[in-house]
Amino acid sequence: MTVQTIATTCPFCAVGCGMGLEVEEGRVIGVQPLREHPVSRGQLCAKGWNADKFVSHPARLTVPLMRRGRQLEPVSWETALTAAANALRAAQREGGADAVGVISCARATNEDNFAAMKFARAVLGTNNVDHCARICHAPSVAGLSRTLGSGAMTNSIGDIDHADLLLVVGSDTTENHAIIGARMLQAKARGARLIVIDPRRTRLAEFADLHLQLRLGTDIPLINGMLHTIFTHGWEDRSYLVDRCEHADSLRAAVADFPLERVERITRVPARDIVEAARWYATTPRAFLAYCLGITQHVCGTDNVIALSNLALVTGHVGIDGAGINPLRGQNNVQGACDMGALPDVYSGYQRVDDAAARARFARAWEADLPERPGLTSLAMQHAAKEGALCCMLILGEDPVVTDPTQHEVQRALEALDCLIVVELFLTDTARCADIVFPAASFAEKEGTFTSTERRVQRVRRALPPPGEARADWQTLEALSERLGRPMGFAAATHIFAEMTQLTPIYAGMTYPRLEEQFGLQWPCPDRQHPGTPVLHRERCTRGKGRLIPVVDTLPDELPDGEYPLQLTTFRLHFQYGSGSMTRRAPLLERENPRGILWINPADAAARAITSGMPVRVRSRRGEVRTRAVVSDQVPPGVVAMPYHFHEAPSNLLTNNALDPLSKMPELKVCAVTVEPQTVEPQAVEPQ
Amino acid sequence: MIEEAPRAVVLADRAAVDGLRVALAHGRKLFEVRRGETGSEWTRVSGAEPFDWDVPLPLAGAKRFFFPAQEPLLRWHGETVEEVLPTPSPFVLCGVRPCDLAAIAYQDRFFSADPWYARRRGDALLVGLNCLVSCAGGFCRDVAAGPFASAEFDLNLTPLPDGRVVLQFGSDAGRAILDTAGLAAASFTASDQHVLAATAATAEASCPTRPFIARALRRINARPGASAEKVIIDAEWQTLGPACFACSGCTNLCPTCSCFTVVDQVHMGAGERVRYWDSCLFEGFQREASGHHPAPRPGDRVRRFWEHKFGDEFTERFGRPGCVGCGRCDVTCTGSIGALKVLAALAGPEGSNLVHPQIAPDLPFSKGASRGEDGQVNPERERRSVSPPSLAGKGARGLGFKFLPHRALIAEIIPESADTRTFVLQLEPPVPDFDAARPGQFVMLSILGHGEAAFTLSRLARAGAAPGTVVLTIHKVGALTGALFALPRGAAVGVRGPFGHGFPDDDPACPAVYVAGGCGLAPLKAAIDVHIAMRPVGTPLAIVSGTRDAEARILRSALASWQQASNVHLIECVERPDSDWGGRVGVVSDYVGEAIAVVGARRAAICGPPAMLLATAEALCRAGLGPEAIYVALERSMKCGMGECGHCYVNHHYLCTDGPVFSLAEVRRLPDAFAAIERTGSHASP
Repeated sequence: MTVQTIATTCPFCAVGCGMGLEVEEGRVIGVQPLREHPVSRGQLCAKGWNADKFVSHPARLTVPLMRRGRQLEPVSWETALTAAANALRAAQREGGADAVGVISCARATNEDNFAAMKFARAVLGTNNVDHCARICHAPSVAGLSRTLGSGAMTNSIGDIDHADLLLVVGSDTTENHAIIGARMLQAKARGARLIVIDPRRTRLAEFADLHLQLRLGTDIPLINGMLHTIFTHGWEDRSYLVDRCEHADSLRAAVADFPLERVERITRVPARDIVEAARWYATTPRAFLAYCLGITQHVCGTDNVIALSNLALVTGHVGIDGAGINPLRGQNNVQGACDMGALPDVYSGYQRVDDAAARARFARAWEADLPERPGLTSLAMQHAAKEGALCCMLILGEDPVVTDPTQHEVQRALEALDCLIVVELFLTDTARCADIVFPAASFAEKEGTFTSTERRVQRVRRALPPPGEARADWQTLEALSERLGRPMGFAAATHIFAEMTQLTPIYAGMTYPRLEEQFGLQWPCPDRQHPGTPVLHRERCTRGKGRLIPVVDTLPDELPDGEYPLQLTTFRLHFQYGSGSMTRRAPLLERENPRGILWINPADAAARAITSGMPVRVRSRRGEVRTRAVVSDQVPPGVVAMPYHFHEAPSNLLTNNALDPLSKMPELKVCAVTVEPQTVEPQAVEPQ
Repeated sequence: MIEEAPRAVVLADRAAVDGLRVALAHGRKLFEVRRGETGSEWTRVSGAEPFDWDVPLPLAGAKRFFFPAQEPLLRWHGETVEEVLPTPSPFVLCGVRPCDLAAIAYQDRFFSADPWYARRRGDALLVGLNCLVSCAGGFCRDVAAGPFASAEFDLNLTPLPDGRVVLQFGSDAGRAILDTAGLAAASFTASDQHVLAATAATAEASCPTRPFIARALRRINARPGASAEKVIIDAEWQTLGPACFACSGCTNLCPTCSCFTVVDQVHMGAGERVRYWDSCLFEGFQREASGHHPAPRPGDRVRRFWEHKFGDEFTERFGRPGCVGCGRCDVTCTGSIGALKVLAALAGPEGSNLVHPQIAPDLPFSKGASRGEDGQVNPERERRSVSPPSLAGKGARGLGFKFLPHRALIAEIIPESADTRTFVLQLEPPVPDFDAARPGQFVMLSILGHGEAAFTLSRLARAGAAPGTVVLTIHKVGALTGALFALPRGAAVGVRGPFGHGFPDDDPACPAVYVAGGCGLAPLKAAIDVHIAMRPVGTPLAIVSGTRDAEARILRSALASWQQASNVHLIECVERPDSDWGGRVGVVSDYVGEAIAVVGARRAAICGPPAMLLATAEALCRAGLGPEAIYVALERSMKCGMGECGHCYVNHHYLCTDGPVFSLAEVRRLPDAFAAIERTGSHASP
């Protein structure tokens, strides 16, 4: 009965907390926080404290499954691999190289993701590879790489300790990035100012010096209004604008169209609060700007990001300690999955597939002909599937049936495939649609690395063997590549990491031993002596000068009307993560679920004779959901809010799949709905 | 001063301890705190490597050795159920700091009847290590837990400034180790004692003085009605509340926290009933299946947690405060409201800014003078004078702490209303304990794979139930009752119990009134039946039973028989009458005055939903009954029934062992019993 503690990295959000997994006789029995860890410093959120529960859950998949009629039945690895290879081959014989697609996984390791993108490009010969960053921070990558040259957090989580002001936009930080939220409250406690821009009154908003409670989807007018105020009062950083930025004049001219009266009318934020926020932000040198999906999940997501980038650049807040523009990434390794090139247009390190030199480098290393044309995004793959152009899909650890917009359409797309192959921990709603399911090893059962939101690459360690016949994702891909006659040649996670660092300049200086010295390294880390980069764009931006790009306000795709008079927004709960496939296996987290999951303002509730706990029906143009109401003034009048974790009441039956033209991000944060009280009880909230 | 043989020896140098460790490791697993990637942690060592005298306090304390984060209680396959008890090989923890020794002593008391704890704790040896300087963030001196050990240990090490080491022994097992290690002959002189005392004084002097702690503790324990600055007002707790993220870090790392939940895990026809560490800061911890929540706001839960740590009643019951000043909660709290921050915020007007706990100024860490132990520190060092473990109200523990349910078959299912049924369970084989059950006692009903919940017996062997049966009238509200309602006659379930203190049945000649709201009639029925069966001829009693509507009336045959019984005055009322209802209309509190007057009641018993209990108790008082004569059945979600899991505690009482029936006079000393209802005027959680 000897307990061993293995230091590893938390598998939930992208904060990248250190945790010790306590293992006794091959069974993980507990979790402990790591006091010395530079990010989490002895803390964990409720999810982290329960990270052991899904690992040891009896419902874990332990053998491959294959569809026989309506049933998924256990089969040998040999049978499943052969069937999967045949399906991939058949699809490509019928429809060409691009008739297949790979959805990689923001929860899997960098090694898994690198293997997935190599598998798609070198083995299958297609650039059809993507992952869920599409529906969280694709606009950050699109926006910030245009303005700064790099789509990641410019600064580090530790910079919050040096900031004198925190501007938090569209981020429910204490719930979704709890340990960053904890740092923000500590900063507030030592006297830093806190400004929150959010349509909901979040916990952080309650502690804020100033809460700008804007109308849904009016971020650009608000930010342009702040910029207008800054230029009007001369609060901009003139020397920074001259030395480090370009196109300042056109921005100045463009934001002149946003006088405060107009902005107040559009956003419903009082003009004096806008002025106060602009003054505080512009005149505080160490002002840390953080944002999240409240900015990105809009039809104007990329423009929203650009607007924030304009704000940070005009005030000289990029490239210095305690400041920066900081997208808080969602999943544990969504940064890494992007870095690894699990995207249709880039290889690892954001090297473009349509750049001949980059393509030649990868082609040489992999001894393969590589396709030149960027591939399909995940949503485009779904469209192609419905149209019959894409016949076979391999999904690693994602659950688009629950997480993607317009759920019926996702299901239709998956049903249209000749063959759906899923690699999963549990039989999720997506895995249930599959023809072949491979059992996956969890984070506790494999070696590898995760890259956190602050670009910190950290070790993930094997604490126990996988259950039954489960394998790491990269092992499944390697076995498939062998069946397809093009073995990738990976025998260990370290091999993949070594190949990746050779091909990826921003990771080039990293090795496992270096990462183990002090809880990881932050990229770019170009050589073995390089200490990593806590703050980007110090002397100059990655792209050279910071580019200011005027953006104009775009209305949400769907506005309330007589038939659908309320606006629905989505959010996440502290106790759940994504589709809940991991967190809902933890009894204490599951118990914390509220009885209802539609948040509605007391005024709107009263107008509909709805009380807390009452069954309600929520309808949009795309579908309807039955759940219970939570009457709360956390949401303003006219707005209702739903978390998206619950497959019993999937908010994505309602959400809009109108896309941001630049990043293809669907507008998950706003659509029009109607809400009615019901007498019939909704389905109980219980795990899958 | 010391007449008996000295209870300590002096070792020549620190290296001499290595021989001791080899002796400790003989036949035992040796654990010591080691530095590593996790900071510092308890690690299995051989004893051959050097001892780390300065290793920092590990964040994960020794608690998990005796009360692990998860532990199987039962295992089943098909219908065969067995209890799973741990079988640890002997081990020793070497280098336990005084704060953790105090915490282990506290948990020894708390878990005194728990066989899982006892099995793990049984053969374990504890070797303490006194602290020579104050650690950053700890405040053991302020809560009498250090920097020198005052709690039980087998052996205890104190490195002296001159390089020698004092080795105290506190048990026969410790003394035996000394012999094995060949150290028994070492001496301990009066001058050694003087050096030890001086070392202790220096260690104490290194601890900062924090007068705000004593002030905060006085405020936490101030009686209602004390002056405004002495009593903590609700707003102060509600200001702290939003800072609690409910991460559960404090309770997980707290070395004295003991609350747990019990969960069934099933896979392919086999399963385990496992207990997990739980946290009273979770909203779901005390939320009941009905939706009622006794501590609905985060601030309520923060208050409850700290009252549990520092409340005088708990201190009295367990011999010391539930906080040992280790400082772990201050490290791990995501909302920056660990013990020191909270105590500073609660210290009153002189303490710190109460508007925002986070902007409380940093705490005074000034060096303070020793409280002056005047150099008289004895190596025997007085054990804190503690009363023996309080067994008052721990009656259920006399039955032994067991999770293995008795097997029972569903013999009969009697529909009562649309969602209420009476289940007659036949014990297989019969268990005499249940036949001796008293009115108001409850059982834990178990369905493997679906868990357990508490239900009060509705018919007793003493009043007509067949011996060997357990009769429960159950309202369907949650997952377990849903599973029960799906079972056919003849299906097997499990029962444990009976538990708790019931209604008084000592004076059957006393005219009494029984007041039931809704399904509250089921638990009261047992008391009414016993009273009717035992009363001297002519003793009158009254029953007031109210339901939402006529549909919801339960136990209709019992109601009909009471209607016919002599000297029983039955009043039935409904809140929402339909056209067929010819009886009374209203709520029970409207009719208790009449009931008391008709039978001349000198005692009353009430059972029902929380808001009804409160209104009825007030009405009974208005009608002239004293608070000692009114008995109230409080119900909470329970996971063990034996005073451990913590789900049912209200203020300083565990309802399962100290209740669930209390006199109104006692309830009035439990401000939390109805606080949520008094505040909101309803029992719905917000």
